[in-house]
Amino acid sequence: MGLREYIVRRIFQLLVTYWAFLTIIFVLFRVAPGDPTSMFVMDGLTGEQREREIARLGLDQPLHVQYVEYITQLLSGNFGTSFRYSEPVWDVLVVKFWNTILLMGTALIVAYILGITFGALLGWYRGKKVEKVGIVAGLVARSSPEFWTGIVLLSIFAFWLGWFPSGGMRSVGAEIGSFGERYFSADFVYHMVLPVLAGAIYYMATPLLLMRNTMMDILKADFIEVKKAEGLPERRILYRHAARNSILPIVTVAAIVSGTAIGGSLIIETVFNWPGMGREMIESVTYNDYPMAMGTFFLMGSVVIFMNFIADLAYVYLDPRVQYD
Amino acid sequence: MGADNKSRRDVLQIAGGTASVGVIAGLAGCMGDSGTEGAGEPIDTIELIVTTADYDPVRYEFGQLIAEHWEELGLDVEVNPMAWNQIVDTAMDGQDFDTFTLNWAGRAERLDPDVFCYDLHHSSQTDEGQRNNVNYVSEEYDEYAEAQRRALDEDERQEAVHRCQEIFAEDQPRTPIANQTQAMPYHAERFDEVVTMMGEGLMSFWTAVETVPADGVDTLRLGYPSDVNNLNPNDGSATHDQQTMRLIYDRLARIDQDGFPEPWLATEIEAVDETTYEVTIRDDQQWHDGEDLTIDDVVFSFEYLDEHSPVLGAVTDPIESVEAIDDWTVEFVLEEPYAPFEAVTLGQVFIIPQHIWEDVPDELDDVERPADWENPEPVGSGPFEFVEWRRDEEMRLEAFDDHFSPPEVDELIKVPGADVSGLVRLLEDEEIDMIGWVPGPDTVNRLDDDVDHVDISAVDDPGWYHINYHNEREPFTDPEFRRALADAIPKQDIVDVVLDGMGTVTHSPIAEVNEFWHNPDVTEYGDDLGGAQQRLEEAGYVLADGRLHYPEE
Repeated sequence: MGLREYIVRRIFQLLVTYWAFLTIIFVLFRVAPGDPTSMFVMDGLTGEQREREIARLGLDQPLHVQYVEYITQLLSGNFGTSFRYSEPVWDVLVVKFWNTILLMGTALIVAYILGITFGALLGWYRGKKVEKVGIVAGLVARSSPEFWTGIVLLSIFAFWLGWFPSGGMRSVGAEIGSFGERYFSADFVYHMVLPVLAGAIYYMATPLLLMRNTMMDILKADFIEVKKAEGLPERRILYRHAARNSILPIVTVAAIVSGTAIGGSLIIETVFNWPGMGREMIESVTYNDYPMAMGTFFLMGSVVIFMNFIADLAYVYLDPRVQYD
Repeated sequence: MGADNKSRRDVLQIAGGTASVGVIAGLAGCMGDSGTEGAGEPIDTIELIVTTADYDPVRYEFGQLIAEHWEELGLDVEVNPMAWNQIVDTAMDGQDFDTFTLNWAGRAERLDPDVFCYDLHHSSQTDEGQRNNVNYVSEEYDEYAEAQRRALDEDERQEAVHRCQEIFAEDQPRTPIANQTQAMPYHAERFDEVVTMMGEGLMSFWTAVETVPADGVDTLRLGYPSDVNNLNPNDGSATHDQQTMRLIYDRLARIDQDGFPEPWLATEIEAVDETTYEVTIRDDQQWHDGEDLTIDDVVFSFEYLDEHSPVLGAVTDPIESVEAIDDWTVEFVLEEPYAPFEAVTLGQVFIIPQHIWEDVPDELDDVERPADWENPEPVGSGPFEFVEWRRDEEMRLEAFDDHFSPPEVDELIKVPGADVSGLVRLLEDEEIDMIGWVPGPDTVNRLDDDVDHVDISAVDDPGWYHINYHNEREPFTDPEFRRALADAIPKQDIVDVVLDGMGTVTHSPIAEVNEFWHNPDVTEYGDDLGGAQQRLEEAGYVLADGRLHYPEE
């Protein structure tokens, strides 16, 4: 089977995955207790008002009618209107999606640069004290929940030292215009430092430990001995030859982890009051805002599915030993 | 708070101590020759539905405390924490419960006694989905609940409302437990005078409009633990949305700080007869876009919202017709006398501009119904003008200087937080000025004691924490049994420990702070475990083998 056929088949699988995914979340939200008006009962919605509201949202229709309607709308690229916001789902999502991607993307890049660098070093210094300290530090970072790391960072850098703001994406009252001003102003970057750090610390451990393990295998390989015998400087062997060859598994893991990291952004977003997708996902589920919830799950799920797809393709491309079936 | 308060541990020890006494009493009953003689069936396990600790720690904790005390009576109590959605489905709507905890938040429109007197307890409101979900049916009560609705004379109405509370307290269809103190923190150095209001605290309309900034301060930055959902006056399901929209849109009447409706956009509200009101409006007001506000806008608003708004459409139900009788006067004819008209109807319906909404939804793409429109730049006539909203970041409102009651501040920025602790940090960092939410007793105490620039605004919430019994389900059908349960509830401990002293024990659905309507002379139940035991015994209930049994048939 050739590469082309493989890709076609993967794309077909992708479509089936999507269909199953959409159907499951559709059913899941409908069987969950409550409806979009439940959260407003104590705000004063009476039974009669709730019925009117349900009818307005089209939720008095039979389930299969709603399902067909939803899928048809989606195929034409329409995510519907949020019950809660009375605003097209897509308009709300786009902004929050960027907020999350910029935050978590940056965190992941930092995590992988640091993780790979230090992982390679730990593999190189196998058996030394440095390695032990590094591994313990990595494990501690990995096993500390993100919110805890976040709070520790906040206590130190926001309260104690007062170097960074304690949350939010911009200073209160900051005026912004263009997309550029939105995301590349000093104020934005300044607010981003702590949450990025929290994410980076948490996600750094995976590449760190993985890199170290692969390094150890590679370092035993004959060609490293040959390189050493050639008299190349250590630094050059480490980074040019050993590290480069160890990076393959990291690529796959990176693709998958970045998918889950975007999905798991919720905690960092909550701790740092970051207006992103993760928070939106939880809130729209809590409020039974079906179109919004399905929109967020669709987008988050797409990132995961797409990243897995990329990982599969990358693997085939990077490692000729992998077969197309 | 105060040093004389009991600690959590004390209370738990008390509960533990009485528990062992209970066991001994049970054993004694067992040893005596009475046994289960003269007793009916044992009472089944009672389910007590509470919220999750996450959703509301207060209800979760006092639920446990109440269960412990009820067990002292020989009952088997199962505390069942549920997600809020599920509580709505199961208990509030489905009416499938033994007992559950609830908190009616107070807010301006609920200071009028109608909701708590009529909607919650009249026998016509017992269908599934309606608010008398405890199925309380009392002819005597109904009579007064209806009377307060009809009585246009305030004193007469007060009398009826007082009677409602007396009958309610005697029958205990629900047991009120406490009114929480709304203790909200604010930046004291940036304001010369901070206005608050019962039921709303710093979220009140009057806070935004009448708070006086210190010299050199022109902005009020108000934090709240979630963002506004939408600014469509046709929707307004969420309290927070209404609280925001009422700054942008005017109403004919507003609820003043004492809880009474006063003319606002109206200059005069006159009851011509029992079912006819003539309302004269201000003749010099403009919309934020510069157009004149006319009587046609007022008529349009009532008709349009009646037709299109699921929420306000119910508020306008009592209106039979609305008609402009001259350039500045509108006449409302009601279907029947309705005393809460000024507070509930005129005090809630937003006045919206006809020149914008008459084209909604017809002139818009992809919008089928008015409530589906996002209304991206709301145009109202209220004291604040909409400027900008970045969802989950901030919303900016500017003072509308042409208004008849322009705000003291130039700008109001609403800052949403992912949670309250994030807002508290912003307040400590002086990034925001106020939090329109109660951050919890520990935080309030810390801010009050340790943070110099922060003061606390504290006023009791007319909303009430309470416990509901299914009045049509055994054993709660027996009022004497309900009174015994009420007596066993440690209300004072709940206030002292669970609320850390920030609250007031209550015995009535209408809070003490709502002075005019509150009846201070109702029968009081609570904090009397011994009395509860005695009450059950006298009613013929039998404690045997440590288990309470029904009276013999």
